[in-house]
Amino acid sequence: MVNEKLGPRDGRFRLAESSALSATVRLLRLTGDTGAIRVPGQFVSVSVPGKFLRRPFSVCDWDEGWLTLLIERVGAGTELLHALEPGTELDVLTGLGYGFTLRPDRREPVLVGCGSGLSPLVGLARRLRAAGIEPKVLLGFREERARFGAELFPGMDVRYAEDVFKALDETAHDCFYACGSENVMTQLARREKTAGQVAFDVRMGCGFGACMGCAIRTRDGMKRVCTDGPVFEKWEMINEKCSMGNDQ
Amino acid sequence: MLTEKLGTGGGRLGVTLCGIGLDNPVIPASGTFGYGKEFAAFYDLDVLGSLSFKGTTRREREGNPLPRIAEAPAGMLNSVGLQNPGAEKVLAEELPALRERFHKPVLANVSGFSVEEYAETCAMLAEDASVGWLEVNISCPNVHGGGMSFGTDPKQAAAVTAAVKKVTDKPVIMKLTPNVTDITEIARACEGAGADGLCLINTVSAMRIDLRTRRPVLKNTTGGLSGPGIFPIALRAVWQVYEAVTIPLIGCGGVSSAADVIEMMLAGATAVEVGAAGLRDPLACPKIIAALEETMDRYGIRELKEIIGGAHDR
Repeated sequence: MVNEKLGPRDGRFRLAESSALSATVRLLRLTGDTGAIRVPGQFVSVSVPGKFLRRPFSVCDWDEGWLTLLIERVGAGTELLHALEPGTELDVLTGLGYGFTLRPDRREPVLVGCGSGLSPLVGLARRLRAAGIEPKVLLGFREERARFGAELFPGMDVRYAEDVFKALDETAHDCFYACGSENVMTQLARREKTAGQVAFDVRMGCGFGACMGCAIRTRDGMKRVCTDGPVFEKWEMINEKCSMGNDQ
Repeated sequence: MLTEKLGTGGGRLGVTLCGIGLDNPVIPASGTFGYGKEFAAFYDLDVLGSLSFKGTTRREREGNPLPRIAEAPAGMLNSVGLQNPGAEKVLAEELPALRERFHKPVLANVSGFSVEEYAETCAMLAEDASVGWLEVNISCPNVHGGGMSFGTDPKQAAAVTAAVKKVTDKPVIMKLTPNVTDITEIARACEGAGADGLCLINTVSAMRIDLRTRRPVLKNTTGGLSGPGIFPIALRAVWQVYEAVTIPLIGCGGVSSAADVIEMMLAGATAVEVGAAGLRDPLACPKIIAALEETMDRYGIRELKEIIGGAHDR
């Protein structure tokens, strides 16, 4: 019944492994059909046993037959996902969203992850390296004790930062790929001089474009984070009226 | 092309809604289905009885600030606030694209902020060949000075109904809010003003508070509750209104299974809209339709059209 040519796919996944990365973050490894995932920055929508709405998560990394999700405990839904035992079967929509466009012409990229927003940068870093590009990685955390994730970028130039904007100014780069909250990503898009892309972490309803629950204002009008994003080009966000909680 | 696939109203699942035949009574609800293209990635839309497209206003609307979505114990809240591209763009871009994916008449869901605006937008959309019915939303809880304010006052509800009836010969279905003391009073007012049918209910006014921030989850403070939790409320509304009017009803609110469809029809619904269930599972509608015949067999139902209002004494 599912039209495989057109993107999203409804599938069953099995939780193979769940490991703690920090006091509030776990890395879940799921096995199943990942054929619908095409580029880093896309996301999946997980049906949480006991909750009505699915929960959207960036694909941290993936390959044939497996994917990883980095899940921060922020509420009751993520708490349930943290408690799942390996072997649990989950209903997951994959291949959702418009991900990062890798730019082979930019040889000195910096990856900027704010908090658990570092998730999709893991798969992105691996693919950049496979294309012969060595990215620098900046991981932004407001508190030192919340830091995690450097181990997910083995052999790379990874730095933690409390002030991610300042750290970015001090890092030589010719483009950026970033992911984090809507507020920080909008500010970053406006400050940055180089070309780049920002991925937004927002609350969603359906995750596949139907409910308008996650729409933000861009230079070209209202766009859905779930289908027109979650990755947007910097220039789509540089107008003063863009995003920022959509206040009218 | 339209007539080729036009529902017959026949067969075990067929029903007739305000003179137009449906192959089955299942209709994705407005605001949960966009203009169809997202769901066309998951299944062939022609399995549906019809569909009700995203609430459309005369001019483009950006909707409310984020967050617009919250979880609920048996459903979800939204405060989208009628984000839509406006009637011109819907006619020029969305409906031609929808016609390529869906080949039956659709419900044009219309909202507005004045009686004149309702009439103007309905007149525009009624011109489109793919529009079978006008579904007039006088029940959106997420906009100020429009939407629901027309659906909570019988005089205003009648005024919108009469104004829309004047501009089109197509069937006019008024979509009502449950956020009133007596929904039958509004239903009678719409019927008296010439409505051809009623759709009930829209979402139930509701809110959540984030314990960490101690602020409402929704930036709009309140939103509309939908999902299985409101099914009994919607069923009660359909039951009461069925007793109060003679025009056909569409039951809407929390429908998630073939059994829910049958229950809603027994209460008095001619057709049934499915909303939140399709946001949780994009395949909810085709799954419900596929399960209908087997569920009918279990309860000894030969044809669905025979059970409309079947739980009432009359």
